Formats: sequence, C-alpha cells, structure tokens
Amino acid sequence: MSLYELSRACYDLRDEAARERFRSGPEAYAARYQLTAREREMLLKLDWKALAEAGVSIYVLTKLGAASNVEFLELEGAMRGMSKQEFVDFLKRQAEQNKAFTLGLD
Amino acid sequence: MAKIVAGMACSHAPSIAHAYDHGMTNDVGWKPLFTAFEKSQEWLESQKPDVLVVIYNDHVDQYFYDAWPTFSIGMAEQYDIPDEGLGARAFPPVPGHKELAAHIATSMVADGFDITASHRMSLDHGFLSPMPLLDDGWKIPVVPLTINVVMHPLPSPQRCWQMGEAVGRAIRSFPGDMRVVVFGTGGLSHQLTGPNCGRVTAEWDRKFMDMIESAPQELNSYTMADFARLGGEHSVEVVQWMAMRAALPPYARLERKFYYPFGMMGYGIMTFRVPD
Repeated sequence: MSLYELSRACYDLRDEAARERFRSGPEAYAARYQLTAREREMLLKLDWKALAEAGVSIYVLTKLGAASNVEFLELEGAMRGMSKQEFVDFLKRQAEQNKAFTLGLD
Repeated sequence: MAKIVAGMACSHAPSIAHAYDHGMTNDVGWKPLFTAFEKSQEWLESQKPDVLVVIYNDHVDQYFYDAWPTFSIGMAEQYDIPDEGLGARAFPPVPGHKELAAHIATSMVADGFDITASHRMSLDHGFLSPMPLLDDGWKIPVVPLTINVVMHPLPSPQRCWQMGEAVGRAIRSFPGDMRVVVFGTGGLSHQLTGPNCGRVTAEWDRKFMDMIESAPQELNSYTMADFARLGGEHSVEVVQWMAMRAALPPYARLERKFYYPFGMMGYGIMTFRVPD
C-alpha cells in the first residue's frame, strides 16, 4: 500500500488547504500518510527522479511540484539529471532536429 | 436520427493551457500551434454542431487508484473545472448534453460495452486545454468520455477502437435531428519520466497520423507497449485518436492535418468531414 500512500500524499495537494498545510509544515503533512522512511525522504527532498523510479505517476508529481513552486521544466530536467537550463537547451536542439517533420503551418 | 458530421483529433497538454492563460499565444514558439487551433475553431463553427462528444483521458484529477474506470462517460447537466494543483482555471462549468449522454451510455451497454457512468465529473486538461480554443464561451454542450491510459492494466488499442465504434453506433441511433462532432484528444509523442524524458519522436508521429488518415485499423495490431516504445510512455493517449476515427464512418474524408514538434511534445491536429 506504500506506493498508494505516496501517490495519495501528492494527489491530495489538489486542494488549496492541503497545499497550505504542506507548505507550512511538510513533515507534519507527510506524517499523515503511511510512508516508509525512504518514501518520506523522497517526498520531503522533492527527489523527482527517485519518486518517478518508485512508480509515482508524473501526473501526481506535477501536483507536488505545483505545491512546492517547482517549475515543470525544472522537475522534468531532474528526471534526466539536468538543470532546467540544460533541459531547455536539449529541447531546443531536439526541436531543431525535428523541424523537417513539421506539417501544415500557415 | 443524429448525424456525426465531423471528427477532430488534437493534442492536449498543460503547456497549452499555460500558454493560453499567460497570454503567450503570439510568442514565436507557440504561435504556429495557436494559429492552427484558430483555424480549427473556424472549421468547427462551419460544421454547425449541436453537441460535441469528446473522448479524452483523465490525469489523476477526476480518478484515483481506489478505482479507475477503463471507459467512462459523463452524464451530468454540467461539468466542474478541476484544481490540478495550481488552482482551478477561470472558466464557468462546462454545459453537458444529458439526453445524448444517457442515450450513449444505455446504447453502449446494450451493445456489450459496459461503460462507467459518471454523474459528477470534473474535466481536467485532457479536455480543458484544447476545448476553450475550439468553443470559446461554451456555446455548444458536450458529452465527455474517458479512456484509461494511466493506471495499469490499460485497455488494448483494439479495444479503444471498438469503444469508438460503439460510441459512433450509439450517437447515430439517437432519435432527433442533431449534428454531432466527435473529438479525440491526446498525444502525440511525449515521455515525461526516465532517461528519455522530453523525447519527441517526430517521424513516428507523422507515420501515426498517416495511418489515422488512410489505414486506421492497422493500428489495431499495435499494443500499448508498442505505442510507449515508439512515442514514449505518455503518448499512449493516441488511442483517443483511434476511438474518434472509429466513431466516424469509414468514408470520412481528411480535411486538415497539422504537425508541430515543439518543446516536450509532438503537437498534432487532424480534422475529418463526413460527406453527406
């Protein structure tokens, strides 16, 4: 049930009151869920890569990101071990390479 | 009887909602996509639809792991705007078309498709990122349907095709003169976790669009794992394009095809018209 609890802790941040509880006391917020020590650590440290590897859906990680004021591109960069800027640069290079596949532009 | 007059497939993404809400639609990077949506909005208006049937997927906003319907349909008078973590977007509730929804649900179950009925439902960015670009001000009532592309086990692409066929049969058996446009939202390629996070596979996206156009049933031999390998784990949303295409009669004709690989996504739009 642990992955469920970890996901639930992120999912519940859809509510502003929960986000305020999380921001004002992340440890107390986490204590409301049945997490292992390692899970609690990943959650409180916002270890995006580890959380994703543990099986937490990106769609609830974005809620944790929003509650923590972490930009999506920063969170996504962390998945590759990149800074936000490194990740943005990677995306720009990729877009350049993919340009030839563009279709139907006005 | 109700008539399906047109179909449209398009991407959905929080990034579209973000660009729209923050006045970025004319920025160099975003303009091609929003221009394509603008054209699609004019096209949609010219179809004079009475109802929009929108097949999309939820992203752990309406549904959670307690139970997740493989296929669901909204049965409500109106639909809520969810808080996905940043507060609810500033839209009024989306008006529903209860009669058509009830008819589709009943017909699908009678047809052997046991769909889950949702009498209260919020429509997350799977619906809410593209739809304000297509019907600003909610002039046209909707019937939302979802496919589970998030919580395993996922339905097979073939089952999603069959779902679209059942939706098509159900709409066409609705008594009364009604013009319906069917939508499928999601995709195209994107990968949001792991070592390939951010990867866009444009060549595959174009091939997928070609198949949706001219050989959609060939996609029935693909598995969700195939789609995940070719377009990224989170690109399996493309089954919603298949369901839309399956709801249209086989003689539907392509009207517009747009593809724009940008940022973390392959953004695509396809529109189809059903000749009289």
